[in-house]
Amino acid sequence: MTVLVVILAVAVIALGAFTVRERTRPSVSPRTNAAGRILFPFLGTELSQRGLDAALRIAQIDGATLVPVYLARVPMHLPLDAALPIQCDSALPLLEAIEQRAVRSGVAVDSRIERGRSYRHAIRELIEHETFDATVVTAADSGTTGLLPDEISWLLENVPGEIIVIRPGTQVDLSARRTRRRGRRQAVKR
Amino acid sequence: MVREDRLARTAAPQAVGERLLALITLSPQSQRVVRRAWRSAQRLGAELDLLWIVKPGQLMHEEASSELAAVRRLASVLGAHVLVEEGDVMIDVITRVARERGTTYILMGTPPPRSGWQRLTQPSLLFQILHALPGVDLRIVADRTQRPNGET
Repeated sequence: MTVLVVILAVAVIALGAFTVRERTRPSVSPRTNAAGRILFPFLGTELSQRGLDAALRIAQIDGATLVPVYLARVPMHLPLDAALPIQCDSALPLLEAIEQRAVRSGVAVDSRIERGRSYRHAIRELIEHETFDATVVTAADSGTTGLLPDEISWLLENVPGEIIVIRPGTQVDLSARRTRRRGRRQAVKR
Repeated sequence: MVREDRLARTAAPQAVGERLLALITLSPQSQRVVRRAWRSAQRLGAELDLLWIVKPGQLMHEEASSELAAVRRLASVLGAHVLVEEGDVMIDVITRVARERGTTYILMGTPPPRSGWQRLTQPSLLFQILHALPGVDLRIVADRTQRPNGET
């Protein structure tokens, strides 16, 4: 009888210790909602390293969530709600690269793909349903992808909240390119 | 039809129509699963379904959420189908949907850590899926951002 009680007591203690250990184990996903949201719209198949660095820095300082938004332009011959596999082929590796950089910087990310007949249309659609505190955009330069001067002035007039315009760098550091070596596999190169 | 033709028709390899089912939640982390699933679907030339399982009674509240709207927009751009199903027991819903849709491939994110009690009393969702859907491949999408040195 005594032996049985001892065995039971040991089992209860072991189960208790196991439960306590499980509850005190750190969570696998450390990032949740942050204080604010910073939009980072981009387009094309390339991404300005300077723009991304600036957006990450601001998000880091503010403890905000970075919302990278790929702006997809829907050709007029397609319905506005058509699937866009070719543009998604470019967007997804870039969004993934941004996410990885953001995690290394300790910034939470919530990616989006927004579409419209033009980039302005896409941004208009975006601000209708997205809540955000600031927007970081990269200006286009000869040979780099970004928003053109008239698009930026439109942005300043129509988009609420802070707008930070980043001058483009001399080189494009992130690009989504198609590699033929392994079928349709995408690669992100620095 | 002559006998040779019949033989030729029955012996010809039939194209296997792949259909992918990605199990998602409404968290931003789920987008990684959606991206991987879409790229796999593209390579296989397959259709992609995104399944989100919600507890009974929560659907009306969640339908209005911005997170679900974001998932729907992403699915629309990718050409994927969003399926929202109510159910208490995840494996029952997954099994039913996979059979209805003719799923050949299931993708899911890394499951959350289970409590000691859960581990003692019920098998993990992975094993439940493998057991319930023996003809379906299963892929766990790892979180690459959790790599020790964070390399891409």
